[in-house]
Order: sequence, then C-alpha cells, then structure tokens
Amino acid sequence: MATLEIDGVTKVYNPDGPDGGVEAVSDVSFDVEKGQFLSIVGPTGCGKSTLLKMVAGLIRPTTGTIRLDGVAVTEPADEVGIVFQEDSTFPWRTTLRNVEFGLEMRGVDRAERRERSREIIDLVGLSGFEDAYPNELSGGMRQRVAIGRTLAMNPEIMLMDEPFGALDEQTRLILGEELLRICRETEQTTFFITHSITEAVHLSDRVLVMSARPGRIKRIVDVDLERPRKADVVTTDRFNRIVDQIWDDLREEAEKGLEASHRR
Amino acid sequence: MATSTSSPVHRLVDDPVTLGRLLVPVAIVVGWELLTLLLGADLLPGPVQTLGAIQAGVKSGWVVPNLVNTLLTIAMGFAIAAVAGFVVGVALGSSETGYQFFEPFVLNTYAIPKIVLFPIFLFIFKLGMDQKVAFGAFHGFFPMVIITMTAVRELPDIYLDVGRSLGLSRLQTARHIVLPYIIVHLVVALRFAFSLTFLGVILAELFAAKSGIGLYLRNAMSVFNTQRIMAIVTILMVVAFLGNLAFYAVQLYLEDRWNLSAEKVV
Repeated sequence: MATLEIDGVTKVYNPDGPDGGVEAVSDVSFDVEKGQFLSIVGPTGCGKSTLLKMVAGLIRPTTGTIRLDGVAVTEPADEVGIVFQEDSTFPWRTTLRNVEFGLEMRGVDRAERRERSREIIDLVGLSGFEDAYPNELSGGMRQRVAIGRTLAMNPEIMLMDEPFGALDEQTRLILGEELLRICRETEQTTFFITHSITEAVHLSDRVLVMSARPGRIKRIVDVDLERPRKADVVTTDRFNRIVDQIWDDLREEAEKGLEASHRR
Repeated sequence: MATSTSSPVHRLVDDPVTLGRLLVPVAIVVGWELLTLLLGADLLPGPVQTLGAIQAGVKSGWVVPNLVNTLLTIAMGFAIAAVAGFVVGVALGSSETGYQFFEPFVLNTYAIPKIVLFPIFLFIFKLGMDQKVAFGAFHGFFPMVIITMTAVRELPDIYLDVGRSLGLSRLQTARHIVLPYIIVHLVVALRFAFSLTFLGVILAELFAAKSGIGLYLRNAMSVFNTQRIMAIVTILMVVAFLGNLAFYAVQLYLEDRWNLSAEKVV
C-alpha cells in the first residue's frame, strides 16, 4: 500500500469571494510509495506549495482527501516532517538545540534527545558545529540544520518545499547529493517541491509535472537512472533526455503562467 | 581579551568608547561648576554645595522617607504598567482585528501629553498614593503595549509554521517561539516603561501630592530654595541613571543568553 495517497484533491482559496475564489489546485491524484523520492515541478503559481501544505495538514483541501497510511490527514501529523524554503532555524538556539527542538517539545528526556540529535548532526554533516548559532553558519548549513530538525523526529514522510531554492547553484548540487545519501541511509520517503527540472531529475524516482494555475498533473515521469547517483549524473545523455522531455512539457505551461501573471 | 593582562588604566586608554562614556559625566560636573561660577552660587549651587544640601537633608530626616515613598510608588506603578502592557500588547499583536481596531487609539493616546488627564486621575483616585501609582502606571503602560504589540506582529510566520508542523501546543508556541523572539524587545519596552512611569510619578507629585520627593521639589521651587532644588534634582538623576543601568545590564545578559546581539534593537 502506498504511504501517501492524494485522491481527487482540489483547493479553492476564498471560495465565498465575489469571483468565486481562486482555484489553486484542481483535481490532483497520485500516490507516493514507501521509501520513494517524488518531486513536483511546475511554473510559478501552479499550486505546488498549496499541495504541500495540504499534505502537511497546515491547510485543508476544498474537496478530495489525502491519506497517510490509510488515515485521512486533517491536521499536522507526527508522521509528517516539513522543511521550508525560507530560513526557519531559530536564531536563539544553537545547531544542537535547533535539531533537538521537536524532540524537546515532545518531552523526550535530555540524554536521549541529545544522543539522537548528535547522530542526526553527524548525518547532515554538521559535526563540529553543534554549538554554533545560525548567524554563524552559511545559508546551506542553516538549511542542513532545518533538515536535521525535521529528520530528528523520524518522520514517515518528509515534505520539502524548495528547500535549496535560496542557495547558489554549487551549494544546491552538493546539498542535493547529501540529501540523496541521507534518504538512502534512512530509507526516507520524500516529497520534494522545486522549480529546477535538473534538481528534480537528479534527486527523484518520479517527477510530477504540474500545469499552470489551476494546478493539474500534466505528466508523471519515472526517472530510471540507477542509484546511488552522484552530482555528475547531470552530464549524462540519459539524464539530459529526461530533462528535455520535462522541459518541453513545462515550457508551454510556464508561458501560460507568465501570461496569467501579466494579466493580473 | 588580548589586553587582559595590562592594567585597568591601560585598558581604558585602549578602549576609547568606554573612556568616552566615563568622561561624559565628568564633563557634565565640570560644566556645572563653570556655570555656577558664571551665574553665582546663589542662583545655581555648584556640585559641592549640592552635596552639602543632600547631606543636610538626610540628617534632618526628609530625604530618605520621601525618596523611599517615591521609589515605592514608581515600583508599584511600573509593575502594573509592565504586566498590563505586556498582556494587552501580546493580545493586540496576535489578533489582526484587535490590532486594526486599537492601534490608532493606542498611538494617539500615547501622543497626547498625559498631564492634561491629571485632574481626571485626581477625581477618580483622590489625593494620595493610589493616584500617584495610577498616574505613573498610565505613563508606563503605553511604551510597553506599543513595543510588545509591534514585536509580536513582526514574528515571522515561518516560525509559527515550524511550530504547527511539529504539533506544538499554544502554550509551547508562546513559551518557546514567541517569547524568545520578542524577549530583547521586551527589555527595551521595560526600560521605556520604567522611565515613563518615573516621569508620571514625579509629575503627579509636582502637581498634587501628600508625600514624595516631588512634593518637596515643588515646595523648594515655591520658596526658591535653590540648594534644595539642586539636591533633589541630583538625587532624581542618580535614581534614573541607576535604574536605566540595571535594565541595560539585564539587556546585555539576555542578548548573550539568547544570541540576540546579531539583531540588536534600540
């Protein structure tokens, strides 16, 4: 059985508004299998983040259901971890205390959460920076802290909303490669949002291509590149064929999205 | 610090900021003495005569009880202003409707010279301690509300999203996300609340009171007792200075504890 089932989900913002509201996501259905890495790409404003927030239980779908291990999601579940695009590390906490934050709130005793947090810090490659505050770390390192804070909770599924979006290209590639290693070691199910096709193909088992607003699924692409993948996979022909294929799908949608945003 | 082995005097010379800060009060006292020489000691008693007047006042027994009375009034007014201002500030800062409704009212009330409302306080609380406490608290309340409200509103949504995604209770969110975020602003708010409560209490004592150091200032002014005026002014300045220093020390401690030096305010 799939870990995550998205079943006919539609989201309309402000449905009681004068113009009947804005339809952000329209009749989207797909499944995510356990241990799978699934990415969503789509033009700006296609409802990617809306979809993620619904899976996270932060907002409710207007129609349709989202099930996690067969149970409908209505509020943030313990089994779901989120990594946000913006810097979400707490500036008043060190790396260690940021990573252990969720465990601390859940009442895990100090010795146990410290041990777990140190393992996670090692996993995300921040050993030696346990006592550093976020303002002493680079953007990429802060994002590792945020990933660590989510992983420490041992979530069934990890939702990532353009987690590397604010980082430069090199850091992005390196962190992507690190993320693949972490997901392999933890057998983590991951639901990843990005606007970078390269990044999506590099990381994913499957890529969902979404249309311009209202967001629908335009195509599902299986990425059959062998694992483990290194960052240099991006130079292979097969990789680039997949990227080109997705790009052809997206170009049309991106133009529609642009037109729509110009009209507004 | 690299220079920690050298003498304190050497360190002072190496650190022009600290040196400058210490020199300012010295310059003020020197300027005061010069002004006394210019205007004559009858019109403006100098530092030495003033110290003598304070000593005489302590000996004759009116300084200490009245100073204690005033400080107690300030402490009570400040406590009320701090607690009420914090509660109202958090409430208005975390409710969009509340903020939209009350923000203009709060800012406008803050802007009016509150002394014009003094007669109303006198009617309600009658002459005495209650009235002084209330008038002081009224002054201190506004900076507390305004700064707390603004700080709560500035809390980035992303932190609340993190809290929700980790399933935090409202209390946990308040204690572990909102409070650490606003704490440095709170210290600043408390500092302003203190100095304005101080102002309110002294104003009340100057206008109508049965006790307190401000009452003695008014009496000294009405008989033009310049030595006593300078004595009280000096005492009040020292109190204000020490109070402010205490808040500054708390602020430095908290900035260190919560790593807030990176985003310093005021």
